[in-house]
This record gives sequence, structure tokens and C-alpha cells, in this order.
Amino acid sequence: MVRFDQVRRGAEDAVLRSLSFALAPGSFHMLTGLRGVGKTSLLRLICLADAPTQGVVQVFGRDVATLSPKDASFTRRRIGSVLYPLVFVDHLTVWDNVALPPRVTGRRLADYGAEVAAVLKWLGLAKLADARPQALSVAERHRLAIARAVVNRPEILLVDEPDTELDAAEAQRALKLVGEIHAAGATVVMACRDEAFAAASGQPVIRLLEGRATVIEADGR
Amino acid sequence: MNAPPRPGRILRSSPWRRLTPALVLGVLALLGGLALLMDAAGYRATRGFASRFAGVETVVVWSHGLESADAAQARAAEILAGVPGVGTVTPLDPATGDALIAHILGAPAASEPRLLAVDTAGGGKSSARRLQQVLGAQDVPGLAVDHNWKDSSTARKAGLIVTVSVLAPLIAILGFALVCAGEARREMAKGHGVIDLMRTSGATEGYVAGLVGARVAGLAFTAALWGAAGAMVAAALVSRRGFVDALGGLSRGDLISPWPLVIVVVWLVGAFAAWLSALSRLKRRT
Repeated sequence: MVRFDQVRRGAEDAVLRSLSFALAPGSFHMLTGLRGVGKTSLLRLICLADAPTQGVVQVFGRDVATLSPKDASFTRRRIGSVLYPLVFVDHLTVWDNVALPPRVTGRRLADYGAEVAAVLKWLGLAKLADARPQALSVAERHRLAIARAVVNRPEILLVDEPDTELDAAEAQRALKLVGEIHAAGATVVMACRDEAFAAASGQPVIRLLEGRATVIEADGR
Repeated sequence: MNAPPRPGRILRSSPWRRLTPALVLGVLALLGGLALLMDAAGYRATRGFASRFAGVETVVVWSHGLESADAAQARAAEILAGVPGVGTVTPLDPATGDALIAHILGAPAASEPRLLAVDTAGGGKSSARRLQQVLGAQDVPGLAVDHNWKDSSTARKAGLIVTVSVLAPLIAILGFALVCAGEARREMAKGHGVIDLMRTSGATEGYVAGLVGARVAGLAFTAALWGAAGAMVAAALVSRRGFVDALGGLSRGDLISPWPLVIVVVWLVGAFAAWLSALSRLKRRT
């Protein structure tokens, strides 16, 4: 599903220097490492927000460097991401913010309206549909970002550090919601700073250290 | 929870908040419009006037010795008709000739001169001199007045006026396009987060560039309206003060009618420049 081979991102002081790992379809990995170690940069490489400086990134079996701009856009549509800092269109309602991905990919309101409503209901945001994002609490904003990331039913879901801004209960709630999406078939990578949080998830861990990745299976191998 | 009847705009269009670029664009549109007006007036005045004199000489002959003025006129017509390059020679009747002579010679007719209109079929500057030489050789005292000389002089001036007045609106439009492109770059920088969000959500470069272009197009349209309104006011003032004749005979309709087209052209140029600028920036980023 995702394969990194000797990937480097950046110049001399690159955070990611030689990343090599693979994610199988339907897998769920926690991504850990200290602050500034490059977790968000790695997620941005997977969702094609950035391009690698060196090495090969394959997503859905294709080298992202060989994708045309249009193919890259179509590939991004199969990936949902919750990246920090969370960005919303502040003058739009919660409903419109969730509807953004299907809307910018050319789908019609009649086609995606029911899906947006269902996702908002599932994440407990239905009553806030007409609110503006800045009126939401931190936890609600995080759930809004998850809603936006999953509304297009992505095959890969990337979630950035729910344990940073959310309290323990909300972080667990986020983990549970993401687990449900994983159970529905999505390949998931969730970044977090807290090793204990990652270990408690019971999922394999990709640990970033000094620009390299080490994959640790759930049983500690 | 129902879907909203119409989703809100992803990038808000608020030209009134961007007063400085709106003013710059408005002034550029106004200058472009005024230059266009001058262009139309200049073209009408010079080309229309000059074309009346193309290829026509006027020859003045006098009575000489025992030969009457009418006989001299008839002999000159016969001689000139045989000159290579001359098409038709038309002797003018004395009444018409007398009226014109004062204009040409600036003196009252003392020796009963007669006029001939000679069509030289677009002959050059040498035609008048040549006609006069031919008449002199045949002992017919005459003066050939070269309207072609006036024509070429007028045409040169016309060319200069038309060139300047065509270049002026083009420069104004180029400036307009550059300002719109710059405004698109500013929008991209300001809305970096939302644009990144759209791209990671799967929006194509064309879609994002279209949104940015549409946002700047709103500004361009407003500016074009201001510019056209200003130019129309200027045209109305010119017309009211009776300067229409000085503008090469442009009618009041001529002064008003081009503006809808100007607004649309300026708007489209602005939108296209902004779209192109946004697209190139997105491509550079990937």
C-alpha cells in the first residue's frame, strides 16, 4: 500500500534522512518519536503534500515521482489526512468544512450531502453543523478534522498527534474512532508523541529516531 | 440536519477590502479606456481625412499671350492626359475654380486662372513636379499642387498617433494583467493553509487556480467598472463641451458604446492573468 525506500526529505539538515519501511493494505501503525523528529513530514510525504528529496515513495503501488499532476490529485483523493496545524475554512460552517473534500473533487451536493450528514452524526457534530469552526472546542475541532478526512471514504487515513492537544479521554476517543475506520478496511497511520499511548493502542509502531524508521510489531519484536 | 441549499464560497471575494489594488486597477482601466477613446478619435480624424486626398493633384493654369484661360485649360488637359501614370484629367468650371483658387494660392485671381483635377492613380511625391515640368515644356504656365505630399505627411502623423494610441491601451492592459497576477500571488500566500488543504483533499491544480482566478476576477471586474465609469464621465464632459468635432467627429454613441466590451475584456484579461499566475505557482510548488 505504502513503501518508502531510502527516502530523504530536506537538504543538509534533513529531519528524515534514510527512511525505509512498508505498510500493508489494511494495517494500522502508530508513528512515534520526539517532537521535531519528522512525524508530520513523514505523513505529508505519504499524502503527497510534499515530495521526497531523495529515494522512492510508492503509494498504491506507484512511485509518486512519476505521477502527473492530475494523477497525483486523484491519488490524494484516496487518502484522508488530519495534519497539524489543523486548518479550517473559518468563514464556512462545520457542514461546509466537512463537505470540502467531495466538493473540491467535483462531486455534486446531491451525491455527498447524505454522507456528510452521516459522518457528522457519527462523530457527534450534527448539532454543530451550522457553527463556525472557531466556535468549537479543541476536541470538537479535532473531530471535525477527522470527519473531513474520512468523508470521502479514504483507503489510507493519516492522523497527526491526537495526544498533543487533546486530553487523555478525548485522545482515547479519537483512537477509538480511527479504530472503527480501520475496521472498515482503511490503512491507518496515527502519529503520537506519547510512547505509552502508542503501546496501549495494541498496534505496531513505527519509531522515528535520527531520521530513520524502525518498525516494532505489536508483540514487541 | 439538511444540507445547505448552496455551499459557501471557499475563497471569499471581497474587493472592497482590497482597496489599494482595486484603486490601482481602476486607474489603469480608466487610462486604458481614455487611450482607447483617443485611439478611435485619432484614427477617425487622420485616416478619414487623409483618404480624401489620395492620388489627386490640382493644376492651376493661366492665360498666356494670345491664348485665353479656357484655351490654356483645354490644352493643359490634353497634355496632362498623355502623361504616363495620369488617369483622368477633369477641367473644373470657372466658378468652382475661382472659389478654390483663393484657398490654394492665397491671392485673388488676377489672370483668370483655371483649375484641373488630375487623378494620378496614387502617384508619388514626384507627380506634381513632373506635371509642372511637362506643362512648362509645352509652354503652358501652370502650377501643380501636390495633395499627395499632404497625404503622406498626414499619413505619417496618423501612423504615429495610431501607434501611440494602440500601444497605450495595450500597455494599460499589460499593467492590469501584471497587477492581477501579483494579486493572485498575494492571495496564494495569504490563503496558503486553505490551498494546501484543498490540494491534500484531491483538488486539481486547475480547480485551485480557478478559485484564485475567480477571486481576483471579482476585483478586476469592480476595477473595470470604475475605470469605464470614469472614462464615460470624461467622454460625457467632452461631448457636452462641444469637443466632439475635435475628436475626429466621434459621435456621442461612439463615446459611450465601447465600454461594455472594454469591461468584459479587462475582466477576462485580469481573470486569465490571475489564473495563469496561480497555476504556475502551484506547479512550482509540486
